[in-house]
Amino acid sequence: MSGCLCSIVPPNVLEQVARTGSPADREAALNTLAIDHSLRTLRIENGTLRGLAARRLALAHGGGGAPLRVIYDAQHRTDTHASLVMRTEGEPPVGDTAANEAFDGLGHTYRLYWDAFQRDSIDDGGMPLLGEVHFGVDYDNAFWDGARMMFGDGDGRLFTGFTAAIDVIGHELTHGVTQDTLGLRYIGQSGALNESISDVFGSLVKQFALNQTAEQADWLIGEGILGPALQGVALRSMKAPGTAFEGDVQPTHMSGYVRTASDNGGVHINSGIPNHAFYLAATAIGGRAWAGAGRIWYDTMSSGAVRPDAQFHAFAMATLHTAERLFGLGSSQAVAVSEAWTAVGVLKGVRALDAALG
Amino acid sequence: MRRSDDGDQLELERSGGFAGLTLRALVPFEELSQPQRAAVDDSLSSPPRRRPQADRFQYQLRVGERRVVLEEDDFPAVLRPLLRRLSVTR
Repeated sequence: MSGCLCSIVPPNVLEQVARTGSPADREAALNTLAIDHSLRTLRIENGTLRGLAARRLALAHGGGGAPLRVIYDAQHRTDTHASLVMRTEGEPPVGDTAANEAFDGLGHTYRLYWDAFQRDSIDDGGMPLLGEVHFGVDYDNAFWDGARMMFGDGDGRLFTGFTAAIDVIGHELTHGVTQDTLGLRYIGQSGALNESISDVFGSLVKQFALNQTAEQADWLIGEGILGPALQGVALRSMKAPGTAFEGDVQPTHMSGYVRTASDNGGVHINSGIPNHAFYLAATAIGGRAWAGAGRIWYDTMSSGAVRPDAQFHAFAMATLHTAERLFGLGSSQAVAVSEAWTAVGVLKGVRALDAALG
Repeated sequence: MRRSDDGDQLELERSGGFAGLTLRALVPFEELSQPQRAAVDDSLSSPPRRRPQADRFQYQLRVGERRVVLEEDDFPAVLRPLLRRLSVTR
């Protein structure tokens, strides 16, 4: 095995060596990157290098099935990726609640994707899961920036922080999975599908962690992070869109589709429609939702059969085809999916009738 | 800068984010500093290319009939103090 380059070599230099150096130098640079936190600070755009590094990391940690997490302290900055490491894989909890919650949430998300769908991290190549806590000042948001998860602390008025709800963490990391699979455009109906898929798998992360059935789940997104200025229990309800808090205007049916220029065409509003379709399908199929409706949605995501500009109808048909492929034409699962999309006004019900008649 | 017909004011809106909340504020022009007025005018005159990103904030500036939508990273720093005035719309 080749040696490692000295760890004080800046990451950009290591990356350059790994990309263009001699075979021995590449090996040494990749080894260093793999064992050094430097790797986790890189935004590696080069696909070949990313794959090499990911495989190196996966091998170093037993070939998949275990997350590689690093939590950084953003120290309230927003202009650059943080470098101050708070907690890494294998280390015990630290004296910072947000850091520990983020660490655990990343782990729960990894577990759902690996245990239920055999997906090795966001890129299915062992990509390290990186998070920054204390992002910005009174920052009322959490987001995936393409390389890391950023968690604001909230302003204490609208939100009390974003690490306390593991469905929020699952939601954000799923944006990375969607980016890596369907690449859904973040506007209009394709954007609302992008949002809905994140809510679906965010909720499944929570259900998986709690080992809940579809009936036992609360189907809420963002429970426990609302501040005193927002009256309600959560931000969104997949079971009953439009009821999560005072001011929740999510529709449950296409007849209530909201046309707006705000929020990239109301992606967080109209996601209520596909969210509710998933809830209806999951509860009709019954049992653990990740094994039924979740399997259908995940296989649809990874099938490549959905275009980046897909509208609700195209995605609905794709999930129906997936259900028929996985469970059979006319199966109870396929009927459940067809009836769910019909109930929210996306499908017309012909397929449901055909399926029922065999 | 062209003024709105209904009171010479800037309408500032923030939407998106993980929560998808929409917050708005109306700011009278006389309460804007000269650099802030210039930043609003620059944004309206030369809107940057849109690059929607999942769960990032989106800002809209409206003055009368003129309107521009900005990604979070394109929102002028000089206007950030105005964000304290935002409140949730019902």
